[in-house]
Amino acid sequence: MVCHSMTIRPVLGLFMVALMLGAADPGVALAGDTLRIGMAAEATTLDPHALNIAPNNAIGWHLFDALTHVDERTRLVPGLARSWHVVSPTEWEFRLRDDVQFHDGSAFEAADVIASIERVRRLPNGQFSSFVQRLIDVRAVDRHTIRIRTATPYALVPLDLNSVFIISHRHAEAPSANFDQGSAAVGTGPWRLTRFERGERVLLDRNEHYWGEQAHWPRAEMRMISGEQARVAALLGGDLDMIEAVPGSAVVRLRNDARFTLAQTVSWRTLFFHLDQRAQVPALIRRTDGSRMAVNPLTDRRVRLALAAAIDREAIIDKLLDGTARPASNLVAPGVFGHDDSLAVPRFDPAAARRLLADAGYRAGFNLTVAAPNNRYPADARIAQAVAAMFSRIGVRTEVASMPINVYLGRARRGEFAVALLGWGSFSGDLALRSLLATRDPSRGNGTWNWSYYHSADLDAMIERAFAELDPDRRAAQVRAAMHLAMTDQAVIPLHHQNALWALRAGLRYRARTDEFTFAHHVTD
Amino acid sequence: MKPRAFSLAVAALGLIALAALCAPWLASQDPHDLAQLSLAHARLAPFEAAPDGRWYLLGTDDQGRDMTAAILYGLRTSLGVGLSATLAALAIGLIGGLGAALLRGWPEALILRLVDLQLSFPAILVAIVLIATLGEGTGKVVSAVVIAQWAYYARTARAVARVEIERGYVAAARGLALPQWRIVLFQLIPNCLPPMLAVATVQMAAAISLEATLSFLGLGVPLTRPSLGLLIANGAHYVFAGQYWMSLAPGVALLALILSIQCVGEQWVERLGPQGQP
Amino acid sequence: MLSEAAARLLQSLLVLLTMSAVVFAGVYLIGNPLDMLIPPQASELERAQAGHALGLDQSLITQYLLFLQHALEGNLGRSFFSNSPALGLILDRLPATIELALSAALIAVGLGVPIGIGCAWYAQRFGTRVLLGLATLGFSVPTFWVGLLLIMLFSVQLQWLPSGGRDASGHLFGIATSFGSWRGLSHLLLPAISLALFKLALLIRLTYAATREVLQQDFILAARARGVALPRLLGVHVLRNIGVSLTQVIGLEFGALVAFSIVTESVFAWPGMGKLLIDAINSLDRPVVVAYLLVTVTLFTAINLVVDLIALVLDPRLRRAGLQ
Repeated sequence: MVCHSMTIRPVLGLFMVALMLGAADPGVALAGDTLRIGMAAEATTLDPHALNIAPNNAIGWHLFDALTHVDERTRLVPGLARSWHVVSPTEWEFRLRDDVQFHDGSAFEAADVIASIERVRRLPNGQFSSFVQRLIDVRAVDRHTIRIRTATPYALVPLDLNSVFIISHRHAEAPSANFDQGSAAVGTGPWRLTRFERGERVLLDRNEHYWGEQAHWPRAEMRMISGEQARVAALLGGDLDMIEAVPGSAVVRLRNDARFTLAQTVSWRTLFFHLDQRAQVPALIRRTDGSRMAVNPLTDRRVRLALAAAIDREAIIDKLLDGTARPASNLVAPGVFGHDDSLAVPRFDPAAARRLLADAGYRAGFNLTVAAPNNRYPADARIAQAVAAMFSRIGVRTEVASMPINVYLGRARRGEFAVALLGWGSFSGDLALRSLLATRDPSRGNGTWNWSYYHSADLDAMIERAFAELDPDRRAAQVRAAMHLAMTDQAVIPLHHQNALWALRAGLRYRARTDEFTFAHHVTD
Repeated sequence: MKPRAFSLAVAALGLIALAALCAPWLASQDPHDLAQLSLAHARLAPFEAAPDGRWYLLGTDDQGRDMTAAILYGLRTSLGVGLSATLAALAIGLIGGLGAALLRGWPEALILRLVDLQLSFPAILVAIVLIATLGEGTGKVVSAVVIAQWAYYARTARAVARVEIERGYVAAARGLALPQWRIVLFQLIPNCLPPMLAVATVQMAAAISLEATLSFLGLGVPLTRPSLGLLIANGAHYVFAGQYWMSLAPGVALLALILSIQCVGEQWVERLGPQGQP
Repeated sequence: MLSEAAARLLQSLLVLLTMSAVVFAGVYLIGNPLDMLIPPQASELERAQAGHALGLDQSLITQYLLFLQHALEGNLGRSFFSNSPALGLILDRLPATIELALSAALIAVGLGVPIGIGCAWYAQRFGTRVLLGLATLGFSVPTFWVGLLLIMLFSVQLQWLPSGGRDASGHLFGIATSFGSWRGLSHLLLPAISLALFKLALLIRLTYAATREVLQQDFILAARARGVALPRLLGVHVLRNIGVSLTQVIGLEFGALVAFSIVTESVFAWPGMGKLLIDAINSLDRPVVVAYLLVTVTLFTAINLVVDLIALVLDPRLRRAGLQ
């Protein structure tokens, strides 16, 4: 302790010297030519075939390509495949681009596609295998043509291949760690990997030989900032050029600040309430005196209509989301395959709701608990709370059970909730209906997320027919009809379609994407 | 030393407790009753008029709650959690500490190791793991706080009891063949309580702060019955919208509450003298 | 003394074992990792396959025993989500947390001890009362709230400092660290201050109380009578005497700093272990949660040991009596 003041000075001096000598890291460039983006969720690995979760796929699209791509309006467009067509009902042919090279300079060929599909099929814990399950045979006709066979006629082959990232066949045997540390992260994508710092950032260099549209910036830094306030603060403070998943509460501030600009579009995600319609009365529904009911009120369509009419969607969007959503009438967003434009948003009408309840024999109302996650969707638990207040005002006394999504999903899966909030993003109405409202049949993958336990033989038949239909127009009409049936029966209560929202430094522009992905190569100035 | 500061702190704490107790009569609405809330009144600034001309002293939150009412009821929740957790932890600590001092041998070793473990393991970590495991709810928050805090009381109780047992009069009582429970009840507990209550005032402030932190992390009390911590966390969503009052007012209330408890506790410890220090 | 140390080590190991079992069961109870891991569109078959691949289809007991067996071989399991060793993930994040806790400790000690001594010396001044009052205030403000206020003031309104994130692009003595560049330090400053505030208040109070006591003692009075200069009196005589108890407190509180960094890290998006723990709990990444707790318990045990050793060095009386 005596020598405290004596030792501290040399140490400090050494520190200063070290600070001055501290050479700049070659991996981190000057701010000027680097685009700095704040990402909302963390990529857990750069192995593009390991986990099928959005943050990983988002980074994946920077380093890799797939045979087919999806544009900002969710339309399927050519990627590494120049074109494709049906050879016979069970065989597809894909023509590959011949002007593509990997980051290591080697040429992209059919062998890489075959190796990638094989790796997806075999990788332990790999989560993309469902996208290649139906492809029973993949072979190269020549270096730039492949043929794919399926057991039965299957229309979604090009869409499924959008989920298969193409890696170089030289790295087909590489473990996930090699992708994270960089040696195997060799793709054909618009960016090359400089460094992956797990949980912190991904540093990227522009691929100067990209086959498609070149990225505007020489470098990009994708920084992981999961807290929404921290993300906004970093943008406001000038640490970032752009952030994704802007919270609604910051929108007004950013809009009124000339230093920033917003990019937004309706996202593919729809928020809605599942309503448990099993004959057995859910534990979370009670008479107003707390006793058990004899009949589950949610099985009565009038009750479901009453609850739908009790919700003031405009007020929720205005007060809790600051206008960053639009009221929903469908289970899929407008513009998505199978969206029925003729459906109207349920009208907010508390008086009519009370009448419907009285007609159904619930003049005195009943008690209900609405369940919601509190860390998954924008304002999720706050929305549930507002809806609970709205239900309460038509006589259905409602409480809220909110919990982290990790607990929530397990309990919802076990069917513990009477009314449960869920957000669902889908490229296609028939896929959404099959997962969410088809009668539950685990063996066939039907109704895996049908927390409503909704059962309609008519709807099942319509979904079934749509899947077998190969003509796109006729299929679209069938999906719309199925959607119409489910929504007019109020099988679930749709709330709103979220907006996908980005904020950028003034002068930058971003092509807002329906699928909510943030691509550094789509930012221009 | 400062009788004035002490009485001031006691008065402040009394006032806050009274406000919390009388919340139902002071507040304009029951903020826990969802049927009384309307989004039409949501996010009003202090004194800003709603479409129907109503205004609120401290504004409203995002659900249309009167912030004044929410803070009064939040004080209740925070104080309630703090009090019940403190009492439970004190009781458990007292039993554990006395048990250790009286029984000696392996029970004492076991209790001491548990205390060591608890003290070397920060409260917040225990609480986070517990709440994440048990799920949310006021009762669960209380138990998490108790588990995080009982060790402080146990340590104090054991130390004081050891001193008392060494002293002559416990031995004298034993010599008179007084039953053990009489010794515990009339000798040990009355001697242990003052220093433990001093610990309690400090720990209660910590308990309230811990509850607020848990609520902030989304691991606290139910959403529809906000404590001060949850009100701050909710309001924090809207700071970038410039709506500071939603988090500032409950923050100041929380500060006043913890500060007054701290002051009372500190003055009390000081009055007890060095022997009473934990 | 050696047997004492051995006993403590054994007890610590038992603690570790119990802890691992409790946490293992706890995370198991929260929910099924597959719910977080499997894409919504997956079929039941794929779900079952994934569960099998991760060993989640076995009973809890079997899973735990397997974990123990692997742990003995030095393998704490692989993260469900990043497919890489859990221990590696934690150790990757350890420097960030240590950086944060260390700077907070430096701020708390560097300011708290001098202020505390000063307050004790000038006990009757008005400024002293203000400072001690502020210290009580520092006790009372919850860490997360301070963090939010700091961000609003210094990052958003004044724009002096970044609002969070870590910049370890600079090097100090060949190590990539926040201490290596001004940018790195600027990122570190706000989270460190927010984390330090509580400990600063604590140290001011403790130093104040300890110094007041020392100042009453004979040797100080004698030194003053001899005319020892004030800096030497406070900086040497007083500091040496309050040093032992302060070191112990600082050591214990350093553990608490590491733990409380959970809150600070989530407010400031600081990529340390605490944030990793919160993320792992949220995604039910059990191997990471268990590994985190084992690492922190080990850390705390080590800190306690170091503190005892320092006390031994500082205090001759203890040196003679052996480690208590």
